[in-house]
Amino acid sequence: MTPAAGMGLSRRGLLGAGVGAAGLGAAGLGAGISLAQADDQRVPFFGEHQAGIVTPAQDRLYFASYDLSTIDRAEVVALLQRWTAAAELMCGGEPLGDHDPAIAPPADTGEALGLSAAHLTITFGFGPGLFEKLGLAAQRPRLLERLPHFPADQLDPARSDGDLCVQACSDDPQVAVHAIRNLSRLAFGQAAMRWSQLGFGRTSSTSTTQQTPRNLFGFKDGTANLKAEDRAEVDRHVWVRRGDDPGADWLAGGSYLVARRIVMSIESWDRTPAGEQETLIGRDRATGAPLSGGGESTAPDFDATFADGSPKLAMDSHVRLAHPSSNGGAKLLRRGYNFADGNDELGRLTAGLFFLAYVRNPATQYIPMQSQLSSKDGLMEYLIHRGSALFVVPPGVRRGEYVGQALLG
Amino acid sequence: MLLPSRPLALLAGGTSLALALALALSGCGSEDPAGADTAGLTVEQQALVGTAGAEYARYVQHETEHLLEGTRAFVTAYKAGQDDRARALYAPTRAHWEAVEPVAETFGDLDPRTDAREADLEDGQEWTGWHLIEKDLWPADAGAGYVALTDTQRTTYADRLLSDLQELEGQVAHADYTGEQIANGAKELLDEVANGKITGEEEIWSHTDLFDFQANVDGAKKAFEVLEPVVEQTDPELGETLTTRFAELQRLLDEHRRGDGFVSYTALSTDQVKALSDAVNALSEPLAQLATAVA
Repeated sequence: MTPAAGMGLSRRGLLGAGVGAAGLGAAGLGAGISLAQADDQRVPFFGEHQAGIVTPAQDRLYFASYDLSTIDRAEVVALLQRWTAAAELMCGGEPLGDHDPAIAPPADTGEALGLSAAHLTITFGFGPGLFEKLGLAAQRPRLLERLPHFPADQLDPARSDGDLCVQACSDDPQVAVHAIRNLSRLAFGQAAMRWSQLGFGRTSSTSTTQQTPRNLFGFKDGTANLKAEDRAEVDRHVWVRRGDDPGADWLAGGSYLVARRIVMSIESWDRTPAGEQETLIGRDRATGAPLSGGGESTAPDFDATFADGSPKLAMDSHVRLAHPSSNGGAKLLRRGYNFADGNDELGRLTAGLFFLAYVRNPATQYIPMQSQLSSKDGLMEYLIHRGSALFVVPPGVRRGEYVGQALLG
Repeated sequence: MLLPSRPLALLAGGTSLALALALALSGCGSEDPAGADTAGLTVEQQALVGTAGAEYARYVQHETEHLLEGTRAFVTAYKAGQDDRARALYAPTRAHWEAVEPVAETFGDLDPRTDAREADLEDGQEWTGWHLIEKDLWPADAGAGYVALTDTQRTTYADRLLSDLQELEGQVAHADYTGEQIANGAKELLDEVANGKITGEEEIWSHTDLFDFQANVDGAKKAFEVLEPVVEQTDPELGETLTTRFAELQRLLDEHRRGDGFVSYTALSTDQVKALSDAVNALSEPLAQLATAVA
């Protein structure tokens, strides 16, 4: 997106004078306070698909889930219109207001003033409850249901589900927090925060230009993740297509988003011998290469055996059980983040992986894989799934539209 | 003098941006129908604010009179050792204080003298007022080491409370209020709810927080009602939003009524507290915009 800079209209002029919606947003702010006009830290908000999915994974995350507090469709539309306008501004590095009278609360909360957008993306999703509360059963995507109970799940309802979600990713944590804070403020009366999650480090790379990061187990994670550059694979595994779900064709160009808060037994893991850690993961800790040999990007050879005939990649290793070849070819676009939310009352770190994955079909791409992992993965000894949610992510927004307009318009 | 426009209409009134966006999308309309310009009030509107100020002053005086009347009965019972009667009078009497607390806070140290919580005190500061007596009347949560006040202490603190509140009565008799003060007072009352009552930290011995909650809301609603004739002209959409949100919050509060009052705070479930908190947020956000509509 190149903001139509230099239109020279005040925001008020835009909003008040009924200028076409194309002007709403960055261009309307006037020249005075633009802080990020000249930098290249902006990711286009508008597009065929929502940003924040195949966008190269930013370093930081703030994710929030909301409960709708209204069943009035018009109110929800109004909320999504406000969110869209605000998201466009913030992704453009612009504040939500530029001249506040002294007796009014500032329109923008202010902590991102002077910061660049730092590749901020804001991605919106709808949970099953939205369709229920708004009486949209006929338009509800058929795969949008609460995720099933997986073996060993110990879910906290207060950290699960939700009617709406917002994923804010940025290379600057303050920018991501600013986005969620201001969107939450704009929602009071229509939606209230149910749970939220900060992520301090990406655990996946979604572009071939990125290095594979490490998770809190100390291992490279997501080596085999879908990458934006592989357009055909992304089209096949991430984006819902027209005809996938004839009753919900409005979702074409969108995706399903799985969110799982997975707490790691950090202290126990750290006492586990290095060799055992590698066996459990199935990769070399230093290089990320599969234990069957080669380098990080070498495909694992699940038939490789040691001299005694035992498999080089253990049958309960994470790499084996999560690999597409063990899951009918299913692939995910993983976009998760490491988190550390302080400690429990025993002084143990409350840390782990906030797993996020975008899929075209959760019933074939996620649920069978997680069922297999939850029941067989040796790592489960060190993992507790505490939060769970499934959302649909509507297709991208065109100028003049609001997010979700294909459903609610 | 105000700047010639509201900030981005995203927040104002709750739906202004949607309206603006809708206008922008339809490409029609030459003026913002919300009339959100607050370049100053007309002479007629200023007169309405003056009327509101007088009405609000009467309300504050009226509440203070009720407060004094109730407090006299309360301290009489307390000093006489009629603890059941004192406990019954405590929350309904305090409600008249809570309804106008932001006004009381403007008069020197009257507020800390009468309404300090034990946790508010600094080292060496003498504790007086409502909550000292509350603890003495509801010692169950005060711990084994708590020593009940003697009759002499009871008399001292009870008389002190009464005289402090008489001072308040004298102060409010001559006070007047601008539109901005009334509006900000309403916002502060909701802050009181959000930071004290919704957490059960205001009445930690008696757990009568919902009485205070209702009184804070009543005081805020009165502030809005006296200003409503102005708001109807300057920002009718904000007025409608506030009317709706006050009603929604009241509906939730009413679910917790028992007899003449409310259930104990400790009887509320986490979900019930969250629902109340959401409704408080939903009201507080547009209420924070009230001042710009009346000044």
